[in-house]
Amino acid sequence: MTEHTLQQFGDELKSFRALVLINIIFGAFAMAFGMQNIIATLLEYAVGEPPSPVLSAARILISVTGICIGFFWIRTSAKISRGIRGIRNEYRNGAKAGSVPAEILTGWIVAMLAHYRENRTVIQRMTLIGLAGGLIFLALGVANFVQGSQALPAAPGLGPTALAFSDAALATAAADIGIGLVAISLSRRFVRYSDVWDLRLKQADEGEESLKKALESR
Amino acid sequence: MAERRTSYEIYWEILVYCKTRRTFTTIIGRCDLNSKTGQEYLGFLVSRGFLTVDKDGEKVTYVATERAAEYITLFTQLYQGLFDKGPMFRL
Repeated sequence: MTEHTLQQFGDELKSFRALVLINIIFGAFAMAFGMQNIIATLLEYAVGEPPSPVLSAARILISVTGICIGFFWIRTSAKISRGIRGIRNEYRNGAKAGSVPAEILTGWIVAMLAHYRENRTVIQRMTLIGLAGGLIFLALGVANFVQGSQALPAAPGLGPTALAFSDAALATAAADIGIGLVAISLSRRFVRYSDVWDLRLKQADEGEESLKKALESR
Repeated sequence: MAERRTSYEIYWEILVYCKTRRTFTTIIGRCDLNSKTGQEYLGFLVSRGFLTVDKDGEKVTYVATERAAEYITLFTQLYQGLFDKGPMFRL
């Protein structure tokens, strides 16, 4: 059983680490694009071709929210990543050595369960924030798309600066929508991770009865 | 990590570590317990016959008994079974 379990454990550990790393990268993207949106909005005022004040305010508000979410994303992902670093290092060293004794593998499983117990609430919060962040970036993308599209029919009458802004708005819209879709996808993967580990916690709890009997029988 | 583990997991860690003779200090250090909870866990395991205590002058050591092997096997089967049964997480 140990070899098969070791394989499963290793594959899952790699998948989870990859998910956390992708999360950190997209947290950074979310912050960068939030900042980029704020700068782009302010530049439009600077060149004297401002969009509607309501749209500008909405873009800045959404961008600031995106930056905050990105920051939370990175901080939380880094904390989760730190929690599994020790287990991952031990796993890598064990895998290099060839065989892993059953008790060592069980110790890693105990450590992963403990890690999930401690981070369960944070992971569920990340799922919600990821979904919210995804929807915010989709909204930002749609706002940029509308703004860019509105400028196009009037393009012959616009100067080169306005045309450049229209192109930039459409490019930003594509990036925002891309980030939004990836954020929603990441959120769904965290839901799947939580489902798998919630089931394991439940199975471990159910197994406690037999462990209790074993400890208390004489 | 102590507060994130269940008592059954802590019992298992102590018993596995005590397969070879250990002192109280090394057990609580290795299993991340404080002195008070360490005494409680070790006291329970000794009272149930999972550990025996040896006193050599001032030095007190603990070692797992044959009964401990049964608990360790049951625990190992249960926890490894968590990865053998049910859905897996894949990216």
